[in-house]
Amino acid sequence: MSLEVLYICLALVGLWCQFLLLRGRSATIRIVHFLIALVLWAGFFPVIFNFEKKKEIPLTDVQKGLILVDRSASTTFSDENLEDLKDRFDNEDSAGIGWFEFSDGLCAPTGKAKKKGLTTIGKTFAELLPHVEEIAPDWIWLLTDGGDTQIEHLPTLYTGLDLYLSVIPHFNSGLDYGVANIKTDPVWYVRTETSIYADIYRNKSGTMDSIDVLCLIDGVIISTQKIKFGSQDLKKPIEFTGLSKHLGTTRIEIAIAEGQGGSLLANDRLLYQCQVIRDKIRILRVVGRPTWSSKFLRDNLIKREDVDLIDFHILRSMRDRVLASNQDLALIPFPVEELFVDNISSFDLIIWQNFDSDTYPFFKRQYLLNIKRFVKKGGGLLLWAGGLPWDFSVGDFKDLAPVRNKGSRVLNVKGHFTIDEPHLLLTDRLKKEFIRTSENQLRIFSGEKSEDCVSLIQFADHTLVGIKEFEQGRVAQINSDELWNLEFNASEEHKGLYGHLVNRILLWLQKHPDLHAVEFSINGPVTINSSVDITFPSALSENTNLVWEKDGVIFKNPLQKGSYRFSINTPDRPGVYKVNLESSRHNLLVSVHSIASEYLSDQAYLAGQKKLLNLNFKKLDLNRETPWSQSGKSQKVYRNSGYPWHANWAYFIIMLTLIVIHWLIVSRTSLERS
Amino acid sequence: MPRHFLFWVLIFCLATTSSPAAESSRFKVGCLVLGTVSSSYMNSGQTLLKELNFRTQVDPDIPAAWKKMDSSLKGSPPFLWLIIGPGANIDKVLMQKLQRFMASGGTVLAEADGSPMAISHLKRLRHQLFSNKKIKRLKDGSLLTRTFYIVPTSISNSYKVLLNSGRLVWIESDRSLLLGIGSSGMSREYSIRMGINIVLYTLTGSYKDDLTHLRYLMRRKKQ
Repeated sequence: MSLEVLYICLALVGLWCQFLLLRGRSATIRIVHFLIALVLWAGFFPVIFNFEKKKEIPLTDVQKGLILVDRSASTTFSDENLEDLKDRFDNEDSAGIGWFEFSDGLCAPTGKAKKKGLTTIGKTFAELLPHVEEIAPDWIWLLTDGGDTQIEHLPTLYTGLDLYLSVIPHFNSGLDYGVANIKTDPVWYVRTETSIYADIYRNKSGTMDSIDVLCLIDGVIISTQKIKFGSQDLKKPIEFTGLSKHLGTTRIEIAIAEGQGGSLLANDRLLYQCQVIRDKIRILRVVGRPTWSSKFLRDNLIKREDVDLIDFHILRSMRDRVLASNQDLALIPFPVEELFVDNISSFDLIIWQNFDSDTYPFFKRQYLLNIKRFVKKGGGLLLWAGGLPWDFSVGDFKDLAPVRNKGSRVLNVKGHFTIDEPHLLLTDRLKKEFIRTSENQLRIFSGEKSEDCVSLIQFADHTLVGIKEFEQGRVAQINSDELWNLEFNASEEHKGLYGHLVNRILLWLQKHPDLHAVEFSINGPVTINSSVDITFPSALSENTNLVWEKDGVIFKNPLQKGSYRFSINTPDRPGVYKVNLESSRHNLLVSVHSIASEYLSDQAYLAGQKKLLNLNFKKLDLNRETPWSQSGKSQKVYRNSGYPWHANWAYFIIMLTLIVIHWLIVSRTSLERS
Repeated sequence: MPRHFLFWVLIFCLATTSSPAAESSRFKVGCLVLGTVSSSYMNSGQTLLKELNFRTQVDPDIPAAWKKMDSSLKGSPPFLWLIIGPGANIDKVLMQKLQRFMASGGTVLAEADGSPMAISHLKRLRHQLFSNKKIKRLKDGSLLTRTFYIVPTSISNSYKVLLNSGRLVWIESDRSLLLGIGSSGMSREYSIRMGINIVLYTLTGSYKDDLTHLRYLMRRKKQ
């Protein structure tokens, strides 16, 4: 119930009570009193509702109005068109006109809108409210393509104003396909398949055709589908299933195949970012021989709650004689097929510890190739040396191994730990403790370093811990089976050093976000053809370039030395880009978003315009003369004068007199009764 | 003379540059004797390690694998075989060493030689080491009875164990396993099997409780 209705109801009840109160008095007094009470009640209306005197604005007076220009990506209203429009109102009569531009929201009152995004009329009108209250315009003129199909109502402040709508053309150069509305869980679990939904739309119907749609995760194609449009179809839903193998931010991209997206390229890709968390790290470990090295690693892994360890030890080799029947043995066959074919993709990490697969005829070469494929696709592999006669200088692991060594080539080396390579894997504490440890003899499996091996920790010039990136995956190698001494014989000072090293290696192998290089940060979402701020922790010491790379196409932003904050232009094609400084090997994956849902079908634009007309907008031809500036015609515009009715002494005296008379009549009646 | 000289130079070079496998990485047992026990215990220890080498993939550093320790436990491998006989001297320093040994990842197998005095020493030692903790007697189907061999309950039920954070730190028996290994017939065989199970349990931990094994063993049991 509105306040006005409530007030009228109260007034009527009050009047009726007054009438009852004077029961028994003469009819004249009752009528006079009723009229006084009525006037008194009515007299409070202007005070409560702040009625103001209206004044007529002559044609020669300054018109107050707001012009709102749609600068979203879908319009073809250029900067020149806007300048021409402004020139039309460049006269004295138009001095009271305020110019606003909008897209994702209201832009600055003057100047060009820098970011071209969506058409958001509802949000813009909400943001415009303070300006409307301040300026008190007589009219608002909206120039838009009608790209906002979501608008349902406008705030009440706009109800008394004259609203005009002029339709400006939207981008429409021919048949075009686009991607819209990606939906999936905002949080994924690592290695868990999750559904991704999206809409593929086109702007014109009437033909039957089909296009190929790709689903990419972190820039890698995981699936493709063909979408068939019937002659009347404008939109088709699509569903993919994806999974992420690493933690942190994952970028999901739905893209129309190259060359099939129609006239506009900007809406052919749509990105969505979600966070990937894990339940547990799934580790498969194969141990060729139970040793102290394998025991201490298991003890370390098994006590961690975030590790799901599938462990397999060879307890008996082909040459061992167990002197017992199978019934008396608790041994099981090595489930190679189950581990290395059926379920290999379910693991985050494989630990290959002192295992010589060549000794076992049942261990087919196919399993080694599967491990290689597993690493190529982003898995982690930890090679841990031991005394069995394995050989990484030949065979399928030759490419994978950071150090090409053999189980048979082992040296008892005297020396100390040294750390040359500053790498994020090693924390400062780890580096200091390794250097300070008193260990001066170690069994090292020595070999030739592969080209891209990073030697993290050396022991007397031999690589003790080497790491290497292999396509999308990572490999680490530990070339001693005596590291467990760091745990077992450690002084109190170095307790936990072994566990700390293992933990850091596991984090690195699973590409944990905690170990990502942070050389610079990009502030805010990145959209095509716009600008974005990037920040460095300190000022740059030399001129360099920020390089964006996607599918072999490179885009560069020059950065001048001496500054730590830059505003840079973004690429013109959406997608997941690798961004890095020209001189650095660390890169950052950045999603460059399109503004895809803005490119609608013709029918959708018409529907958006129709919704605005239903909200009391009057259609106005853009090229014709506007109603408020039509000279020679009679036009009356009323505006609040700024003076409320009750704001003068005469009103106050009348109301006071009426109240006194009312009081006298009522009190007199009461006295007579008593 | 020169031939001999070259031969010894070659031997020296091989020994200093690329020595064969050594030492702390290969399997060894530290043996600490408290009190007076028969020398046959040592022979039984060597026998067990030879059987371990013959029957399993474990690679004991024979003949150095049975390593006699003193009470400082300095240089002890992570598996300590504690043999308690009459007249054992158990002092506070040894207690602390044993506690530190177990806290660092070591496992102790303590056995009395069967004499009442040795059994009493063993109980006192255990009480002083783990006063508040309960030591459990091995049950049928427990991990120690199926690490490598499936050992009958009659053999395994004389053992008590203590786990710390899922890791086996203490095994004890009133009946000497080494004496059993030194005997003959099925008693010897079961003692060797139990010894092998204990060694493999210390090396592989609760590995046999992993789902992969349990599923297979259940399937086999049904068949």
